Amino acid sequence: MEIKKVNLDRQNLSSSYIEKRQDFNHVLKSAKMTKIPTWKSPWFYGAVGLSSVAIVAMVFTNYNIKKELDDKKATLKINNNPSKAVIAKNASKSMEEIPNAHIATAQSSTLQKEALSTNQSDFKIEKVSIETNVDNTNEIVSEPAAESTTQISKAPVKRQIGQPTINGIANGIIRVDHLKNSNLIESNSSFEITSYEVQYFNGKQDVVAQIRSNAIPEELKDQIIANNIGEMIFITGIKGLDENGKIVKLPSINLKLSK
Amino acid sequence: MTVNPMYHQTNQRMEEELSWIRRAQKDPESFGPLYKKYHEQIFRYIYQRMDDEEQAFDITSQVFMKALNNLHKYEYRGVPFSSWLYRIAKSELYQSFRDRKSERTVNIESYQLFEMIDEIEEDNSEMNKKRLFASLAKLKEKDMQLIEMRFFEKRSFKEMGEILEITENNAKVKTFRAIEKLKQLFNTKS
Repeated sequence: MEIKKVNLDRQNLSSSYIEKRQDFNHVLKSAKMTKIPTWKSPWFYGAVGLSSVAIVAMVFTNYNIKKELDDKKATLKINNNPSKAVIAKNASKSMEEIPNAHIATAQSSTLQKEALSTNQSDFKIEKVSIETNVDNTNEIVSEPAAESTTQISKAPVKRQIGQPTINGIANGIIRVDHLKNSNLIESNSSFEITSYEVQYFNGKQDVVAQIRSNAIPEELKDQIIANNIGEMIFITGIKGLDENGKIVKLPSINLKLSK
Repeated sequence: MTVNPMYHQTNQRMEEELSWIRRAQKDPESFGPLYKKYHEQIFRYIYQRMDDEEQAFDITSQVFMKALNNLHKYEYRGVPFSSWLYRIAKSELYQSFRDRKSERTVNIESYQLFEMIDEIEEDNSEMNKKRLFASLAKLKEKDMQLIEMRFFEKRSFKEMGEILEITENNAKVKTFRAIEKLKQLFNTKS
């Protein structure tokens, strides 16, 4: 900085004069006016900003952890060729919403960690496959399944429009004699069933039979009755004709055979 | 050489001052006694370095305003409260020079010039007085402020150190060097 001016013997100001110029009230007022409110200070914004980011991060992390845990808890996937069914991710999901096929699959002792595929001349079976990251797979799989089995009979059966049935049963337990006496798969609406697939155990392995009518062949019934008591039978890929003659896909039938 | 008696305070005075500060930290209106005590000192420090009296009063008010707003940050370090005020004053003063609201001026009394001539070990003649006057005008700001504090305001090296935020010894060394530079300028002229 440059010194602009040098004064020699400038007139001195007296102490009394300087004292007269004192104005503490003015200083006090100005200080109050110029004081930056806390919420305007950069420190405030810094603190608020940081805490907001931290809260958002915490919420996001919690959400992700929860989601991951839910996924780990009950991720069961059933791949059924040609139709695919996926078990509900959320174990707490109501029974009405969980397809019985999955419950039964979980219950059955044939749960496997690896997919088993068998190629035969006219059909292909891909057996139940469970995908889970949890080590205690059996625990997680079997517990909800056990609960669900008891609830199957209690839970009201949700009927959908065009729901096909065997002897009036679409989902749940079917007795051997009822199956034996049923010759047709019927729809509760005016759909005429034209084809369907049945997945069952033939004594050696799971097989899928493709039927091109609404009839249940006697031979099929015998095989099912002989080898599937207490097991699940999945009737999928049910197709029918509506009033206009248009082919429509109808909901599956999932039955548990009992004596 | 006499030194500024206002700076040197008894322990009792210092404690009283500290109690005022503590009270003012809680209630700004209690800052009054400190304002009264130091207003003149701070004003004179500012007015010594500039020409405009009104501007000097304004800057003094600003110094106390800032002190009041930042009083919560003040920490007692065993030195008079004035050191803190001087540091604010110095900062406000230089800000005013940077903003070109006022011009840097050096104000000297004749007797101070003679004292300075003694200091640089020259004859106390009218001629030397003029030469010294001219040499002072050529001195750099950082050297000028040391000479100003030491010889015109009669401050102790301790106080100078506290205002300039350097050690007492450093203030002593720097002042000695500033006098050497003034001597050089004085002799160059001759």
